[in-house]
Amino acid sequence: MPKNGLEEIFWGLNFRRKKSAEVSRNEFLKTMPFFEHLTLKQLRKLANYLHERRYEEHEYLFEINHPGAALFMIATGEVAVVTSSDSKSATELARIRPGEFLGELALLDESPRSASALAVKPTLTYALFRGDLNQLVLSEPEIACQVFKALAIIVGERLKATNRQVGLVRKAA
Amino acid sequence: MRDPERRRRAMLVNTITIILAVGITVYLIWALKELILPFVLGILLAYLFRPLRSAFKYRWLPNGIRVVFLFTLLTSGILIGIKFIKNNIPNDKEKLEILVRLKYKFNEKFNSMMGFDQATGKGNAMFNLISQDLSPLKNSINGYLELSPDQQEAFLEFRDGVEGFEPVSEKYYQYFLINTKKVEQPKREPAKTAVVAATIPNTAKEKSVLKTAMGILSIWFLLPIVFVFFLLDDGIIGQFFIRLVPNRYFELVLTVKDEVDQAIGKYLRGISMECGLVFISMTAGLYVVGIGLKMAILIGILAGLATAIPFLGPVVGLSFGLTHALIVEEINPLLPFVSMDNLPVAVFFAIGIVLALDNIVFQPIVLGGAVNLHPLIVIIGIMAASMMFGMAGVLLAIPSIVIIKVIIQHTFGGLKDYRII
Repeated sequence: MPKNGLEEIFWGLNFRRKKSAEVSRNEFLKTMPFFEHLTLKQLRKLANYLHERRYEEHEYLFEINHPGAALFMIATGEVAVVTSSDSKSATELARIRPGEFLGELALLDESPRSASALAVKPTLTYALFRGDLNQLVLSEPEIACQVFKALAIIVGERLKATNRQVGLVRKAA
Repeated sequence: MRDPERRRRAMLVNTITIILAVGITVYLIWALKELILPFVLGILLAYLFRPLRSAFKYRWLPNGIRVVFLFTLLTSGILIGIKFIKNNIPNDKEKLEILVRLKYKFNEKFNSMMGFDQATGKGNAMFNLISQDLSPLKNSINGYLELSPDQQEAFLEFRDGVEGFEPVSEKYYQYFLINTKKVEQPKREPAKTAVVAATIPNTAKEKSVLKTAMGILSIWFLLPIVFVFFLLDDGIIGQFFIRLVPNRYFELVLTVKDEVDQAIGKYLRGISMECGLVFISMTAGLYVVGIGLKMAILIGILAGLATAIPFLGPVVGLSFGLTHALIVEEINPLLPFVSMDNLPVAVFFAIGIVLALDNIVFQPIVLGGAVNLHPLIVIIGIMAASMMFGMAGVLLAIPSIVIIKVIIQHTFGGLKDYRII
């Protein structure tokens, strides 16, 4: 169970602490490219759909070949993107640090994950689930539109970067 | 990775928490079982109305006002429906009149079909051919429609005049005489006898009914509250429960929850729309063949509600429609070829067309993408649920079967996809 799961049962008792936590969460969310164009009101609405998850060291956020369902934004801690779920044969592809995100393609379809994500430190993440984003399209189309636009820009940037890399490799060859 | 000692402690705390939570939940369900029906119905209605909430989305219209508007719409609809049905439920006098009219009209139609002449005791060719075979059936229907001595006494008292009731019309009294083969009797002085008194609720009875009604009202007060809160909810309630899920099953649970959510929503909305379409087409069909608008709406409502249970909608429409066609005294058909003589046939065809429309058009369109439930499962499920939980079971059987089916279907698929099994 997440650390503050039981606290949530006693709604209101930790009001002051929750309020400041909410502010810092919203500030964090504002730094994410998906949400930078959202107003504070829209951000608050969207925050209702985000799932706060805490991972211990060496705990997987997701594993390779599992169907993808959520985007993870790292608030604290560190996550390693690895090629396998087997720690002996795994090759580290990238390190994701606070303020960065991973698994964004899961917001578009449920194709299997292309790599595993392993917490290398105790990590706090905010997850946005594909189903919730699809629901937002109906209930809050302006918010959903901003998120999808940002997602399209990110995927486009990555495609350009990949093309540049391929070009460099070809030149070198 | 957590050290073994910490993991052992965490497991102990989790186990105790789960046992306590299950124990408290079971106790609460048992102790508050009367609240379950309004609570669950409130959630289901919120499900039904959720797409409407999005439909009324305007920048200037706050969420709360949208929900209040939908709540008012729902409450008004329910109240108008209840009032309409209540006003059209026959009272004690009308119940007796219906039995008298039914028996009279049944025999009249039977005799006219057989060309039966009372004086000679002879009939047409059909009479000679099948009257002996049909005789036991006719007698058993007559026996079923026969008024008991107490009911006959009460009918006569209503004819003489009982406070609070219109006297029985002369025409129905003549039917009664023919049914019972009695000689016409002069009107007696109006008097409340034990027979009529027994059929009319007394003050004590009214008080206890009022007390029960107040109790039910206070319980049902929960329904609109649950409805409003679930309709206002922007995912907070679901999020709280998702927090309790271990990280390993997080994405799986989200996926299954989403699929179950969609399947239930589609099914409930589909079945509600089908019921509504059956109501509209049944009302229109009966009105076209000459049944009065008020009665057509009443039969349409009953048949529409019964459509939620497979096969029951047409059966309800047919039995009420034919019964009414048999006793109706005057019709105003929009179709020129419908007359009093062929009204039952016309009603039969009208309901047949509604049934065909339901099977060929309504179901494939409105229930096309929804969960497919085998009619046998639904019927057995409803019977079992009614035996276990009474009326609450009947109302909640279909949504429960849908939820169980969808959860089993998607959970096993998900567990395999995530390589947990």
